[in-house]
Amino acid sequence: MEFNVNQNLDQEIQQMKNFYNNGLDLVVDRLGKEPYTHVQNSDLNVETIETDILQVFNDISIL
Amino acid sequence: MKDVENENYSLSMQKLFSSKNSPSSRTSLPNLNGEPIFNVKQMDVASPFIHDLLEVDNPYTARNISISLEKEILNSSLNYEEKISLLSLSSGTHVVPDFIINDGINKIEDKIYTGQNPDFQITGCSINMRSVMADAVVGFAGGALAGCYAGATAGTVAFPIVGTVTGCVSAGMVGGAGGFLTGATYSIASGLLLTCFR
Repeated sequence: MEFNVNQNLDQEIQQMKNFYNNGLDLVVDRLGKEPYTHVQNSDLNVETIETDILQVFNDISIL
Repeated sequence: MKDVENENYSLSMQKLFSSKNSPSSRTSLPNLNGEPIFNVKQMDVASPFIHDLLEVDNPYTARNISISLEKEILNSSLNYEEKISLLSLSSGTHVVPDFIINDGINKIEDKIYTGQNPDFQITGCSINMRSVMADAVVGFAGGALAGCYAGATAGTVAFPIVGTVTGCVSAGMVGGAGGFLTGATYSIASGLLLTCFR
């Protein structure tokens, strides 16, 4: 996504909302993946939730 | 990473969670004011709305607040870049309540329950909207700090979906958006886990 100063603000807002919507799909999709599944059988497990969060943030890489 | 940079980053995070143990701290704002997230002028515009946002009890009100914040930003005397970075926050506060209104809770519930646990209950499952928005805003602050830190020190940062962005402001915005989403989503998930399984 380019934050282009030549675009008008309405376009920027729409672009951001699209980003948020796509991001939501990604994050929600991650909820169904391992290692989250065994949370269902073992009550609330903070450790596995943290692992899942880390998985999302691991996708943020520094070039 | 250098020790000095780590120290600076740690200090910033400490500021973020620097609420005091006093009755008034219950309603204090997450620390978004101060570089590199938002400057004083930006916070002057955003503070009343963030304050209201942290008091909401339903997604419709949260969405209305985001619309008001967006108008306020567009009509403000802030420069283009200042508006853009604040609009990143207002966009999140619009999209997340929209998601909740449009069956988002059930989507998350479906993801965390596959039908294997006999103790799972459907009725009585609930989320705390105030917690969701607070977690989202704190997530935004943390993500913006982390993104800005990466952008300022590494130059170019790669994010899922977006691709690469350059510099503190852009990386901070995208990082903030990611933090907002994960904060809100995990708050909803933990709310459901606590109420559906207990």
